This record gives sequence, C-alpha cells and structure tokens, in this order.
Amino acid sequence: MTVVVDVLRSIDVAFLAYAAVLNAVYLVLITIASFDAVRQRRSLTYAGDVDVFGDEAAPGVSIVVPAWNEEAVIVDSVRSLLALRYPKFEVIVVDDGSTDGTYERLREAFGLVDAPIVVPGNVPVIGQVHSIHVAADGAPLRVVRKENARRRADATNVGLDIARHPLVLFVDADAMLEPDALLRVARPFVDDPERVVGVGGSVRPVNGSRVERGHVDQPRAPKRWIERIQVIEYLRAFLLGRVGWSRLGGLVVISGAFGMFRRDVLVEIGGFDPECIGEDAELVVRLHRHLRERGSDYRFVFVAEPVCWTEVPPTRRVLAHQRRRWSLGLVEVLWKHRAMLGNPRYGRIGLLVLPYFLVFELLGAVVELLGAIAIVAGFLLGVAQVKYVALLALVMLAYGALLSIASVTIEELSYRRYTRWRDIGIGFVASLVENVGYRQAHSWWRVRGLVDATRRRSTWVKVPRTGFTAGR
Amino acid sequence: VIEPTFVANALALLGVALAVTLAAAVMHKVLRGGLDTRRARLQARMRPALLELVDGEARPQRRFRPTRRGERRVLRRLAAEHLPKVKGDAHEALVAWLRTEGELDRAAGRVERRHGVAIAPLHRRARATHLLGEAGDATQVAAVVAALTDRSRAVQVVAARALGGVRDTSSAPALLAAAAAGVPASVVTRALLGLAPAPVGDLRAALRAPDATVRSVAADVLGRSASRAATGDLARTVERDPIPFVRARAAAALGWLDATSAVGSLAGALQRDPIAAVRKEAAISLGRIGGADAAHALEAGLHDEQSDIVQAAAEALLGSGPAGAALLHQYAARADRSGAYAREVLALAALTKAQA
Repeated sequence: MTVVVDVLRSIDVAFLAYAAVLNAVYLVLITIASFDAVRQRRSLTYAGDVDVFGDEAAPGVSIVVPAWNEEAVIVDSVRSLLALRYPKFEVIVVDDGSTDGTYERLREAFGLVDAPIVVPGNVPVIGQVHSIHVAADGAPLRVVRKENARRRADATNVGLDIARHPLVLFVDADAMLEPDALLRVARPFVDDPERVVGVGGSVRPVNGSRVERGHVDQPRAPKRWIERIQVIEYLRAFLLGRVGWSRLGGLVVISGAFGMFRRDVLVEIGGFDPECIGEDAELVVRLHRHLRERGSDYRFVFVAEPVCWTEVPPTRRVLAHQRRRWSLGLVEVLWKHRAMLGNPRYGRIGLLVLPYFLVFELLGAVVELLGAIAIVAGFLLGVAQVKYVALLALVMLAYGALLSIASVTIEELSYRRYTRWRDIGIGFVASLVENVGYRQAHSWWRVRGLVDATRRRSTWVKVPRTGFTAGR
Repeated sequence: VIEPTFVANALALLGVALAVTLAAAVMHKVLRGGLDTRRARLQARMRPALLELVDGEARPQRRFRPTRRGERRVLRRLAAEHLPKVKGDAHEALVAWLRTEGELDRAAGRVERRHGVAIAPLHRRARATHLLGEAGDATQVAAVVAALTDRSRAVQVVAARALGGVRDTSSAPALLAAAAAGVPASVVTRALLGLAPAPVGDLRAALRAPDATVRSVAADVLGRSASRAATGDLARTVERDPIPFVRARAAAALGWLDATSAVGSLAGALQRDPIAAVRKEAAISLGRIGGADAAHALEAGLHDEQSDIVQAAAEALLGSGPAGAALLHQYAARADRSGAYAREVLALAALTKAQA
C-alpha cells in the first residue's frame, strides 16, 4: 500500500512540476506577444508596409493553391486572390485529380486555354501532370491538372515546380486573404532578402463572418460553440504561440494555409515531403535542419497583421479527425527529425523548441490523461483529498481560461478585427466554456492520434465547404 | 505535496489576473469606442476648416474657426494626416499653417535627443518624424537625419522614409550609413530614389564601400535613377564584387540603365558567374538592353544548367528585338529543354498578342 501511495505522490510531484514549467513557458509567450502586438500596431501606421506596392523591384510572388473537389469555392477564391494588391504575382491552381467540377468551373469563369508551359522537374512529384492551362483574358492564372496521388503535398510540389517567381505563397483553396495580405507578408523578404527564408501570417476561422465577393466584410463569431471555441484556439495559437516563438527565434510551424517561402531554398530541399501528414511543419523543421547544417544565417518570421480567413470544422466528427491527424503529423515530424532533439548543433531549435513540442505539445495529452487516472486512483485508495484535488483542478482550468482570455484581450487591444460587443463577449465565454468538456475531448483526440501513429494509420476527412456566400 | 492553502492562494491570484485581463479588454473597448466617436465628431466639425486651409486661407475663418484647445489639436492632426494626400499650393498651405501653429517645431523637439536619449515615447517620435518628412521641410533635415540613429528600428525606418519625402540630397551619406547600420535596404533605396537630384557622386563612391548592403543599395539606386555616368562602375561591380547579391543588383541596374556598353560585362556574367541569381539578372538585363549583340549573348543562357536561367534567357530573347525573336523561333524547333522554353515563351506571347 505504501508503495502505491509513494508512486501516486511521485506522479503528483511530476505532474505539478510539468504544469509549472508549461505555465511558465506560456507566461513568457503571453508577455512577449503582448508587447509585440502593441509595438506592431503602433509602428504599422508609419512603417510603410504597403510601400512595396509601388516598388517595381519588389520580388514577384507565385501563389500556389492545391485544390481537390473545391467546386463550391474555387472561382470566388481565385477571383479574390487575383484582386490582391501586389505589383507582380501569379496564381497557380493545382487541380489534384478532382472528381467534381473544379476544373470546369475555372474554365468557364476564366476562359482557360491550353498552353505548353514547361514543368522543369526541379521538385520530385508523384502524380503525373496531365495539362496546364492559362487564362485567355491575360489574368496571371495557371491551372495545372494532375493525377491524384492522395497526398496534398504532391499537389503543392507541382505548384512549386512550375512557379516562376522568387517567392512562393501556399494557401488553401477556401482561403480568403485580406487585400493587403501579400504586401505585408512579403515585407520581411523585401527588408531582409538575404536572410528571411519563410514568413507565416495569421489564420482565423471565417465561420459565421459576413462575406462579400470573396472578402470578409465583417468578422463575426460563429453560431456553434464548437466553432466559437476554435476561434479562440486560433487566436491563442497565432497571437500568443507563433508571435512568441517568432520573437524567440524558434518558429517551427508556418501554416500550410498561409505561408510564404523563398522558392530557391524550397527547391534546394526538394519541396514538401509527400509521405508526411504534417507536411507544413515538417517543411519548416527540415529547412531549419538544412540551413543549420549548411551554416547559413537565416530567419523565419511571423507577422500577425495580415489575416487569412479559412473554414474550420463545424462538426465534432470532422474536428476529431483533424486533430488526430495533427497529433499524428507531429509524431512524424519529431520522429523524422529526432536527431535534432537536444542536439546543440541545431541551436535553440534543437535544444528548446523541439523538446518543448515533444514534452508539452505531443505528450501533454498523455500527461493530462495520466493525471486524471492518478486522481481517480488516489480517490479509490483514499489518499487524495477532495478539496485539494478540486482546488488544483480549478487552478488548471483558471490558467487555461487566462491564456484564452489574454489572447482575446490582445486581439481587442491591437488588431481589433471583431468590432461588435457581442463577438468579444462570445470570445470571453468561449474561453471559459472550452475548459469543460472540449479541452478533455481534445486531449482524447490527441491521444488517439498518438495511437494512430504507433499503428501508422491515418484518416482524412475533408472540411465541408459551404461556399463564399454573403452573410453566412 | 503542496499545501492546500498555497493552491487556494494561487487560485485567488489567477482569479485576480483573469479579472484584470478581462477588465483591460472591456475598458479598452469602452474608452476606445468613446474616443473614436468623439474624434470622428470633432473631425467632422473641423473638416470645413481644413478645406479653408487647403484653399490657402492663412487661418480658418468665420464659423469654422476652432476655438477650443481640443479642436485645434484635432485640426492640426487632420492637417498632418492630409499632407500626403495633397500637392502643390494646397500642400504648401497646410505646411505653412502647421508651421505657424508650431507643430513642426514641436515635432522636431520630439525627435530630438537630450544627452543622447530620446525622451518622447516611441509612437510619438515615429509620428513626429513622419510629419517632418511629409512636410518636406528642408530646415528640419538635421532633426530627421538624427532620427536615423534613434534607438528604435521602427523610428529609424520612419526617418529614412521621411528623408525620401524631404528630397534633400545632402542626406544621402546618412541614408547609406543607415543601410550599413541595419535599416532595411529596400527602405533606404526608396528614400534615395526620392532625393532630387540623384546623389550620383555619393552613390558611385558607395559602390566601393566596405559594407555589401551599402554597395547593393548604391547599385540599385544608380540603375533605377538612370544615372548613366555610373555605367562603368556598375560593370566593374558585376565583374569583380565578391558578394553575389551585390553583383546581381549591379547586373539588374545595368538593365535599367539600358547600357549597351555593358553588354560584354553582362554576357560574361551570364556565361561564367557561379551564382544563378546573378546569371538570371544578367539575362533579364540583356533582354532590356536588346539588340543583336545582346541576343547573341543570351543564346548562352539557353544552355544553362538551371531551368530558371533558360526561361529568363528565352523571355529576354523575345524582348530583345528582331534578332532575338528570330533566334527564339529557331530554338522552338528543337526537342531539348531550350526548345520547350522557347515554345512556351512564343505561345504566351501569341496569346498576349491575341488579347491585344
């Protein structure tokens, strides 16, 4: 009996130490993000972020849009991309063997014609390219039709291969970028062309917002709580996590839904890994590895101001699949690059960031589960006090709520996309609600993702597209 | 392991933190909303006065005249905000009124440092520097130049942009020094391009500066400001500079200059430079310069190992004139990679022609 009690006590100590370190990291991230948000906001007015627009020497951008069965949104999406403010860019839609009318919608809308565009073969691809088309009206649009290789990364690699400009931006087919998004996200490349390798921008859920002609006219909180909680998750991930890690020089995730890279460096490392589920995170970690091993002086930057709006899962089933895949993807990335873990050769990425992702992002769900099991065991053995456990649980929940509320507050103090009182109020309520039920379910999905990883099993469920209709 | 009292205290502390965070957001929304509404109302009231100022009235007349302190402040702010939107007499009228109001002196005071330390907060320094630049007041150049060495990079950037607005050529050395100190090259380049007349002497000298960023900025500005006197210096930079991105900028600059005398240097770069970015810029510039010699030089690009260069050379050939176009048609019949790119370029050109 005493042995069991000792074990439970040890778990207790370990759990508390784990929570203390994790919360300290979060505190650092909140502090950095708060300062950065205010600084960015204040300097934006006079920083001339949009000066690039009038600069004939600005580097061109190839926008790569992988699309599979996107007939509901593809035309509006491409129109919205073609309307972006930037001196020189092209849009490359890679129709990844769609079985719906994705290509037909594009052909009708833009009068596509065949063109003998060369596929250089600089990036390895799996699915064969069938044909390439350009817009008859002279719009800078190329549509590639290719065989579906059941891998999104393969489609992005084809886009990367035929891209002609020095910068490549990857966006999802349902993404809606703000009109100045390209100018702002390209700015770090213009300012520091030799060192900046990749730039990530903010991604936010569009669910519930009012959309007019492919642009978010009025950001609003969604109607369902599952979507509202995801709004908070995205705010927390981008406004706290990415901003903080970027300032610490440890950005390892640039979302595949909105990330810009230098094309030459991507081609050098062979583009995305089509065998990897978390291909966007894997790409950034591989770039870090490659550039560190080469001894290059480089930077990854996150800019919070340009926003890319995208649809998030509206149902529990699709969300669960998505999160399991993310967890599985993280396992793959960490396993593939395990040589970097704790290796001083890779600087803060090897010594700080990847260990953080392993211990807190990947194993966090397991620790939470073990903690819950230890509490139940403690009750059964009569060694846990109800009051103590209840207080501890409340502390954890309050800290979780504080992080979420801090991200909503940073949004209100600096970026202010949500202007209605109602939306801010919903944000605060969702920050509290997510801690009861959703957070535990999320941990369970992540644990299942880990189990999937041990079985090397992956499932993919497409987020249902509702189309860019006004006032949805 | 931990006393329940400690946990309870931690919970209380978190409760306070939660309440403070929540209150900060709510207060900000309330105050900001109120301020925005008040400012909008005042701005609407002051707009006719602003129009009178733009029309050249020495001071707002009649019923629009701002009487209260808050109204004058709003009018000054409005006038400052409208400076980039107006030109000529209207611009001069606004600047003159801001000067009589002492706004420009106040701005210079905010930018100024005492004992090497800037006193005003960052956003005020940035706004003041911006105003001095938009006013284009040559008498305030010293203050703006001083802001180039402000402790905040954000203010340095605003100062560089401002100097481009002032257009005083004497600020060129300070701007080039700022590029060496870390102000983004693109910002410095745009500022230098704004100076009139172009500081060709300083820029040519800067092509020999020890800092590579300064050399690249100088090359870029010389090219884009069409400073033909610098053709020889730029050609030498393409041939000899040890840093690839400086060579690439110089190669691009020669294209902007339309420098036929530099075809030899560019051809050499296209054939022999080990860095693809330099070869690509050389190809593009040869296309811009055009002519039979350039077309002949570009043929080498069609055999480059890198597809980017082959494509750039094919596009450049099309734009280089009749000789280049004829060569491109010859290559289009070939089955190799150069032929594929030639066909692509010709097909896209035909499509563009059909649209026209």
